[in-house]
Amino acid sequence: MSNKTILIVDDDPDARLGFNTRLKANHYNVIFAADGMASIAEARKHMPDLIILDLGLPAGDGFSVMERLKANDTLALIPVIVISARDPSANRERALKAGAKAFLQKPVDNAKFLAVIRKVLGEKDLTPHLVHDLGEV
Amino acid sequence: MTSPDLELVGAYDYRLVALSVLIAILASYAALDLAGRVTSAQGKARLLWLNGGAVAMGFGIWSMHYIGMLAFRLPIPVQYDWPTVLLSLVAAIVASAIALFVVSRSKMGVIRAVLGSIFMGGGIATMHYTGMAAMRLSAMCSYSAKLVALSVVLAIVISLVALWLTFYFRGETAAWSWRKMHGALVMGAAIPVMHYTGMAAARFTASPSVYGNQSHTINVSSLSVAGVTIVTLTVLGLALLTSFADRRFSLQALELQLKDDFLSHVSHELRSPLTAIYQFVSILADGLAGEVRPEQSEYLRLTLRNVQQLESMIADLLEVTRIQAGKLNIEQQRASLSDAITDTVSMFGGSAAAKGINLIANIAADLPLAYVDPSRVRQVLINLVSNAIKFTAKNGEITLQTRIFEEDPGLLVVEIADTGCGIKPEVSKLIFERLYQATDAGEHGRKGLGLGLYISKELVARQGGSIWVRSEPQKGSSFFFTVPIFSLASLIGPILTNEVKPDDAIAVLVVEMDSQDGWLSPDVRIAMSNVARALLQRCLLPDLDVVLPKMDSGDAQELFFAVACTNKQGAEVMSRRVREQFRRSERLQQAGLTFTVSCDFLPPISRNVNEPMGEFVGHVAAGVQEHINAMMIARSVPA
Repeated sequence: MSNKTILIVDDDPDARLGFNTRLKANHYNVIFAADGMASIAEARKHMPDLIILDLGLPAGDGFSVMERLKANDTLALIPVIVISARDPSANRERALKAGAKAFLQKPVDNAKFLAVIRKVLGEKDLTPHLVHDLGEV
Repeated sequence: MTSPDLELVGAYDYRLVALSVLIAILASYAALDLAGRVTSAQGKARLLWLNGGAVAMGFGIWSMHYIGMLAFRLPIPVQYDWPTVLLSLVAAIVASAIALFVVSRSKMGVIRAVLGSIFMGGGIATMHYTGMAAMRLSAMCSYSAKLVALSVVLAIVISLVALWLTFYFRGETAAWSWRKMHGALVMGAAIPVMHYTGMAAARFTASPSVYGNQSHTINVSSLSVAGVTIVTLTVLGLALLTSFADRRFSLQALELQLKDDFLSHVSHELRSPLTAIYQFVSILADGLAGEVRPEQSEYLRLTLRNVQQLESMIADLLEVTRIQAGKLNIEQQRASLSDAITDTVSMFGGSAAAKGINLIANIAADLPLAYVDPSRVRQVLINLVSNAIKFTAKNGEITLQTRIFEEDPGLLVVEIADTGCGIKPEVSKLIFERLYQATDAGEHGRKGLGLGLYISKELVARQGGSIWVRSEPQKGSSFFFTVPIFSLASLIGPILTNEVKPDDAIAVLVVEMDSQDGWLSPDVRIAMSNVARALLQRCLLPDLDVVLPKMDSGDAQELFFAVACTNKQGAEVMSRRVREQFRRSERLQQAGLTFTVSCDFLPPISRNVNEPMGEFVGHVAAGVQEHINAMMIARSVPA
């Protein structure tokens, strides 16, 4: 049973609702932000245990959100998982360099999605199969 | 002493005046066109366009000026001091360079525009009055201060207008446009205005002697006018032609970029709704939104499977775009093929079992490591295995194997054999072509995009291997692909050959991998050198550079050595270079290897002159094999 809080940052309301249902079913508290600005405000207000971040966002894209999180000593401690429909070949490296713990391509398989979250939250290690698929998380 | 001034009155040759205006217009047109090139170019190309453009434009302005000067006829002979004339050309080119630099910036504020036009106008005025100073005639030249000032102000104002026009028109992408022509007309007409105002400022008074140094004077004939005109037109014409060609070239590049951007945009936009479909269908299927009846659950699983198919087709489309744009990203490193095969087999174990297919991996022990991008090899394996599963019926078998390629010991070959429906011989080559689709696509009857094998072929080729199929209809197919064995020798071979100088002796470099200070005992090292020497004595031509690198990559601790004809000093330089190159080699860094290089020096050797070349080559091959065995023994009993 987990009661950790996850901040979902995505401008697509459908995606937010989808993540919400999936994460609530796995006993996480979920909060939302729909743009870059709001994500920083929400992170400050609630200090979530994890941020799930889309890259294409209004009011500051995912990369600038990570920059702003990094610039703040407290917010810099919150782990970030980037999840995007963008081409991974151009964005995976960049996201990981910017400080993301993992890059997931949309649509992401539910099992993989939850496994990476658990790993990043320190709840459970990845299976060897996923380690190979995702690299170091 | 004063004498009554005898003012010389000049007359204009209007044909030459017209010619000078024409050149000014042409130079302006070139300037407008070139500014666009400078703006869109980057890095070195930008510098090249800036310099070339400045020369062409400066030449145009300068030649307009001199033709204008020649149009002015005085009743006495006029000669020109050519060093001063050349100096004025420099002024014109510098002024043009400043102008092009200013207008090609992304922004042109008021301050930058005013400063730019002061420099440019100043440059043109400098050129004009330097040109006047080049005149050698039996007359005194004096200037009306007011008119000179007016001409300088005109030069600056005209430059400002010219800069503004050029900045405004630089984005014009067509090589020819009426807007650009109008701009060129205004600019081209304005430059002579400044020139003829400057001329009006000059008063020539007859004097008995010629002023100024006359040692470098030249006469300007009508032939040289023609010459200057032709050269100017050629320079400007060439500049415009090059600009036209370059524009076409960069337009093509732009088109390719747009196509690329378009496809990645499309794939992003397709993935977003697909994500929502996947999320909610899987929520329903998992019963997170309420109880689901078995029949409904089956339909939902079916939907999910189709979502996956769509997703992989989008990924394939994007991959093909990358291949065609030459942007396929491959990072080769030292990696184990066996691992990739084992992973793939475990990944497909479930779906093969579900179909009643026996999926087996058959891997030879002690295989050398491959030099590949592991994720790309997995991609190829996944593609081939999923195809095999698709085309193999119940109770069939799929076997994965890897071994050293019989036809080339530098390669590993992977074989994926199935007992499926097989491929007709006439299509077995076609299946690797883009958009080829199997006519009988297994039980689903879905054709898909037909991109998988094409992508696999490209991925394998980019890693230095090849892919092919052997098949018998109704019995099964075997797909093969090769990848290079990781060989330090092939990585550093080119480095060594460049460094070797022919001399009278043999150097043996021993490189011990995965070792900070060498794990071979001195005895073993010397013994190895002797093996190499024996080998070389039999088979080397002493007057050739020889690099004979050998390595075995079956284990973590690896060994290879290089042999080269060189003297002692050369050998030392060489081993130092090898060390440096190793440290700098990104590919070796990626492989995360440590190493030790030691060098042994051997006395001269020679080949038996009577030995035929065929035997000589045979000896090299046999000796290499012998040496591998020697090294294996050396390694299994580390002293």
